[in-house]
Amino acid sequence: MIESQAQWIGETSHPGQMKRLLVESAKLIGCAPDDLEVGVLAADWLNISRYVAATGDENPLYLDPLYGAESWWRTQLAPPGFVLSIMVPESAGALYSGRYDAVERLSAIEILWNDHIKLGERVSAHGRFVQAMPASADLDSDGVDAVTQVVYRSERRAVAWARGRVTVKPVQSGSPPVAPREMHEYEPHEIESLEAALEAEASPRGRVPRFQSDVKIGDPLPLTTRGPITWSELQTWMVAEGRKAPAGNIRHRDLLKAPGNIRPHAATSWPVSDRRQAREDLLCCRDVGFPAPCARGAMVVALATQNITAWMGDGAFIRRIEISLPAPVLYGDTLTLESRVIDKFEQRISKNRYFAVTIDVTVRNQVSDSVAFGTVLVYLPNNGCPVELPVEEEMF
Amino acid sequence: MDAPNDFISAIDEFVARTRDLIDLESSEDLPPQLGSKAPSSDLIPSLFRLDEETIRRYASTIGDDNPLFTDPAYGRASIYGSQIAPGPILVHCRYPADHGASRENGYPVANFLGGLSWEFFDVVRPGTTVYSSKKLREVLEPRGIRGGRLILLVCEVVYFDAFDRPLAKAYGTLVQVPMKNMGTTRAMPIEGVDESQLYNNEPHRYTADEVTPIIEGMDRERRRGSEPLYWEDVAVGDVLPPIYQPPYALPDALSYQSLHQGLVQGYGGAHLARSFTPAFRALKAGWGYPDFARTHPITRWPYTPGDEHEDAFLCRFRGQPLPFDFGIQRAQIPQRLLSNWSGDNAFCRKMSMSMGRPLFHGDALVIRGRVVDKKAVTEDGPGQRYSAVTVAMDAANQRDEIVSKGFASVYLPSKIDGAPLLPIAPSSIPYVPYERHRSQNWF
Repeated sequence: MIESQAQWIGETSHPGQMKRLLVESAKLIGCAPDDLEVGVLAADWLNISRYVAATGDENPLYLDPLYGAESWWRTQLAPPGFVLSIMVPESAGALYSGRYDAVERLSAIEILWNDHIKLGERVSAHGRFVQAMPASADLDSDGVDAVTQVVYRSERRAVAWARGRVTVKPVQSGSPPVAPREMHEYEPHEIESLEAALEAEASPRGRVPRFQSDVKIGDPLPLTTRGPITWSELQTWMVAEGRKAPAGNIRHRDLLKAPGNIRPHAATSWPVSDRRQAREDLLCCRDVGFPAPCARGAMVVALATQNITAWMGDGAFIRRIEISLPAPVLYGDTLTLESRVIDKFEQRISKNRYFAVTIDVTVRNQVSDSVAFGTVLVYLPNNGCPVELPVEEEMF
Repeated sequence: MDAPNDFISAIDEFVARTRDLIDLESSEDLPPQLGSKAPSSDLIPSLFRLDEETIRRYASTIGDDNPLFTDPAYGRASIYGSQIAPGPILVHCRYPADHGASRENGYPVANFLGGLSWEFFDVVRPGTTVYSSKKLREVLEPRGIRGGRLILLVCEVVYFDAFDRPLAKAYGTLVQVPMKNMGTTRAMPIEGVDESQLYNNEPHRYTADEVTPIIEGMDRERRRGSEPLYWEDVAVGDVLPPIYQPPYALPDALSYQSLHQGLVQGYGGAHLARSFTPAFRALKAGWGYPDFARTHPITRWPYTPGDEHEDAFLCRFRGQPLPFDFGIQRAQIPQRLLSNWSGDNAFCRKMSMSMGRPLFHGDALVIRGRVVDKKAVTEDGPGQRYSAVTVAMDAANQRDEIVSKGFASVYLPSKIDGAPLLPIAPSSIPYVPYERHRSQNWF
């Protein structure tokens, strides 16, 4: 069992490992993956506030029960992205059950909401592995895409559905790093600009409705700055995900049950260390291809939804988000979220009529790399036409 | 070189203002105000919800998977009639140490938990709502081993249930180390960091010979469970089976925060701003306590919060060469040593752990215990007799350097009197001074 890092890499890193992963992952289609971790079990104030704190949100609709009671929804809500605190759809297929020298990363996510989660509701999620496929024609180099679907329930009613794609790539020594850049050192003029942007951030729109009739195609949303990301932001998000965080002796035992998740710690040579968490650890993140600790992909999705909720006002509803995450976000990065209305139209679902806008979202880091892009479908109220929920009585 | 006068003045002011806080209800670690609601009681309510799942998760954060703490069905069959929580879970209901006076941008002192002593009066069960009172009781100024000035802040936290019955009491000692290179504020200027290091450790690289005994130690760990350990069968000199923790790593730092984050308010009563724009505003205003702003050594961002425990860049701002453990975590782990050995029917009445040196990321931990006394104890109040043993404990890293020492008093079942009768209902719960609550005589 006890191996040095060199022995471990020698055994796990070899041509053909991605093909083996693809074959083994395909056997999981239709199954509930073992590597999907359960997060929070209740939308209580504490769990919601942890999520809200992690996104830097100051909207009282998500923090103040009295404010919530006075809103159109007549109660405090959980933000839409709170579903990511219940479960992130990010199974890596068979990666943990075998021994591979690889690194996985959430690379795309789609979430469809049917209703709000309200303060105090009991929540749950059920995930299913649905697809394993080559990430490109070059399987050995670009790896495997693993796709998971999750259905979210609140007090047993289905409130959302999500589909996440995880890309698993080999990290043999000598291969290009997952993030080929160093931590960013900010010049004085960059710091000055960042301070100005953060100080200028507007409060959430709040209770003043944003009518669809007042929105024009091409309207920009306020530019939002998030960062520079420090350990506080990385950790606060980890806590927001609501997962168990056992002490070392219990992690050791759990790891022995998931041999694919074991990687010797690069800084201490301790043989039974958590491969997934290596990327978050400054002492060993380079060993798995990251020059600095890496933010979890779901955090970027949460920031994108928060950017929209701050603009849309309390009476609106995010129906759907589809985001690609082409590059990782590192400790020290600053994100700029730029959004624009690209379409407006009506939807009729069941007996309801919805006034929709489509918003294009782009997230760039401080060196203008695109780290996320996608679209968001938002239902806005109109004069005399509030948004009625749930969208569908039976979602699925 | 002598310390500058403004630094000495800042420390003197800190001590004087901190002494003014003695015996007052602490303003630290209060729950966030929900909306406009003000606290409704003199005792401070906790937002920490003691349900079955949270207790289960808590037990795992301190490495304990005893079904008494994780399995409601097992708990129902126990002498308690329900799942119970390890007593130190109460740290999440109110942090049992006090940082003393504060001001805009703080005082030039580096804080370390020096020790934690507990008195437990009853088991903690799911459904219990917890209220607390926390008061600074003593401010001491011993000299450190290098002759430097140290300031010890000793506080007392009493935890009550909704019926105002005491569940436990904690005595927490916070060591505030004056740091000349901090100047006059809590966050050290970046140019002072290199010469302020208190240790020069590198991450420990394990050889196979070092790994094997630690893994074997973890594999050997057994708990007694429901089979009683009778007081009559214990002898002074008995050795408790040690417990082992693998090298402390980043996920360990997350263990404590996974339960504690969000439970306390920031300045102004709202929830504590830890991320992005709200955190930036608080840090820039100089009120990010405990995360006063400092310039990041790589990014140069001047409003970097003080994640000095977890962050390999920022630990150096507290004089530590590597990320290091939270003393509050280390102080909880010995309860597993005791409960593994004494079984479900015993009751840990008192427990202490003093912190010596930090446990750095990459350091393993072994906690050992030995019975040093055995006696009958009559509790104040109803006068119930208990069959007690005193255990002396220490904790060492992989270099066999002692990082902690402590004692425990465990009430064992007796063949004559049966299991310890709970709750213990003392007629009063007086403050036990620092010199006493950390000495064997108190146990």
